[in-house]
Amino acid sequence: MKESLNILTRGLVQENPVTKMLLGLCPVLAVTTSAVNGLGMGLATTFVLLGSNMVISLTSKLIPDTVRIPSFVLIIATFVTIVDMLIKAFSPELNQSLGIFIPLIVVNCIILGRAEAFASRSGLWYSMLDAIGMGAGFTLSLLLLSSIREILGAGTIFNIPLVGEDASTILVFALPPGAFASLGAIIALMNALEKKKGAAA
Amino acid sequence: MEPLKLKVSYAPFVRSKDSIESVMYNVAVALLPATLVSIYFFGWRALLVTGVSIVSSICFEWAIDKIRKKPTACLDGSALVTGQLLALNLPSGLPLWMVIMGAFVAIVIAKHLFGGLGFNIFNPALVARVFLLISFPAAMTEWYAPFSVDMQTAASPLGILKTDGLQALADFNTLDAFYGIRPGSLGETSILALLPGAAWLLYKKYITWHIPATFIGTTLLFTGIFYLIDPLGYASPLFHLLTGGLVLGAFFMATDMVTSPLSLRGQIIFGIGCGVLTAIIRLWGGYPEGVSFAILIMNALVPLLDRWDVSEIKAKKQPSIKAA
Amino acid sequence: MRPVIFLTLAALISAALLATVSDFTREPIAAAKAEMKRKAIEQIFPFEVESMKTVTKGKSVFYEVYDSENALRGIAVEADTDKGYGGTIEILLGVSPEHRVIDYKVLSHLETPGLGDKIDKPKFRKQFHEKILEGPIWKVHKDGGFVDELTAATISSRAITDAVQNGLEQINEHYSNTAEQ
Repeated sequence: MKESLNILTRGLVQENPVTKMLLGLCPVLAVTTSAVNGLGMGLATTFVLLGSNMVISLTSKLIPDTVRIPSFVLIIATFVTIVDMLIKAFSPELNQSLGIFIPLIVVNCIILGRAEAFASRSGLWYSMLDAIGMGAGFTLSLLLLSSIREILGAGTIFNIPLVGEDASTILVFALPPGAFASLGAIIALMNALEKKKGAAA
Repeated sequence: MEPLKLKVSYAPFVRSKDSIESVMYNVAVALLPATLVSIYFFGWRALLVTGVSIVSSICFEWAIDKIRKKPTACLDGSALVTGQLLALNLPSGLPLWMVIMGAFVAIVIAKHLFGGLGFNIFNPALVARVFLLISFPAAMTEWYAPFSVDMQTAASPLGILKTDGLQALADFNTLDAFYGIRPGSLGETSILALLPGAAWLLYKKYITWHIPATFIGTTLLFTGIFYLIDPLGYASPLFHLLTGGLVLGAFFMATDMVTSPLSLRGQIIFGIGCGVLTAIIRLWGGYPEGVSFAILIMNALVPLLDRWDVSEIKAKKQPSIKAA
Repeated sequence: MRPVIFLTLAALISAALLATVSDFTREPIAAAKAEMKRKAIEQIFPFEVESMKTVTKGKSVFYEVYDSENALRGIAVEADTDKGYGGTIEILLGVSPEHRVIDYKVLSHLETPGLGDKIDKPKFRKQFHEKILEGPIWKVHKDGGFVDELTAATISSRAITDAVQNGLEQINEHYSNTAEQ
């Protein structure tokens, strides 16, 4: 039980894929211009992660070692394509704003990383918990980053205006340099908090 | 990590017996004619922008020194120069909260997050200017004409060139541009007011001629080639010299001791790179003016240029040791 | 030999799964695409859109909008211009049957963030409301026309003026003006 809880929660902070392991930064930086985008990307990635972790955990004994990576990529690509089609069908707005970055989940190294490092050598139950925990950590980081960028860069949150139409927003946060700067600030803050916690303990 | 050891002996102030304070206050004095002329041209609003920029830069320096638990350096003159340079890069009508935000970006982000004076890779005042330009493009391109009583906005000559082409500049007066009677940021307009300060810094040997000469020369050469090919499609090199922030940037910002290369060879490469990038951005880029982007891009290459020099010096001095 | 068999089987299973999902989502995707277009058109017209008809005439694609009595209430057309600051700007222009501009929606653009991208703000779009092709000077204020250019985005303002005029010309060419009858 304690082991399960640990696997489920470690992706949130201690081993957060974005702020601690710095994995999958391409979508993190590129799509986080609005909170809706961040949340959508996070959930889509979590879904793929859950699917690929489950299938890989179940089939890892069957997969011959020589074609391990191609098999993982095939499994991941299948789930990504399914997500892509589902989003196109049921959330065309999200599809329009996330665009090419949904198919690009296939090269997100978090997913291949979890498959290789965890799911291929763990049971189904732990692999599911790991996927949910890591997915939640990824989604939370994206949500945090995209909220900061949307509020400062566009003056809205979840498309709800916070300031008047003519107000000056700090546009740089909506642009790529703002993505790097905000992510850097979040990572610095996380490290500082952890240092403080470590010193207190 | 032997190159690091060698770098210590090459610290920026080694060739000068002066302290940081005296260098910085000399730069501040050198910029004073430009500041005074900007107040004469753009009125009390220019004084306000300059004052707010300097005071907030010094306050941020004081606060960040406190937070970093360092001896306070807010009066060593470097924050003063950063604030003064930032103001010279801003339009006179900029809302004051944007000026304060610019000072924050310059001192806290561009200077202290990289380690403080001597460790910053990018020129702090220019980082702040580009941050403001990208964040508030409308406010940062609302220039005011000199002596404008009703605060009427006007386009800068480079802006007109980009928007309406060369024929819209038929009444461009070269001599007026030299004096500074044209819309633009506080310090870039009057070439006349910038020259005494530049001469003073050269005379005091705080800067050498290499970066300004190669920077301006390359810009003139590059724009000149296209002017010769098609005089009706491209503005003359003289126009490019007198408009925008070329003179301000070449003498006062590209030459920043911390963010420019140490060796002569490095400085010449740096100056040529700045000139080429400025000309490319002005002729074909999305923004009308490219001086600040060009200097920042070349700033990023300075550690590489220095490293190249240091490793070659090392190889010459100690031929027995293989290059790392 | 085992790896080959395994990968082949895995690929087959994957292909079968994807074919199923693709089959299942084909209709919803088509419906979603149509719905997006319909939403864009509904945003342009200030009235209830009862039914819509897509008509292709020559190179232009028109969307005719009808009310509940099946009377033509508006025409939308996709227009573009390559005079934008960053390249091509595509708009969806909506006009009344009398060929008066109702509104437009920017479908795609590459203008400068914070300057040129204000071409889709209501304040700027409003200037085109009720304008017709003949009469007004289709230029920005600076060039002697009726359009007040956006601050520091003269080129983007010119481009939109050009795109709206271009859309109106397409409509004039293919639809008779009900105001003249």
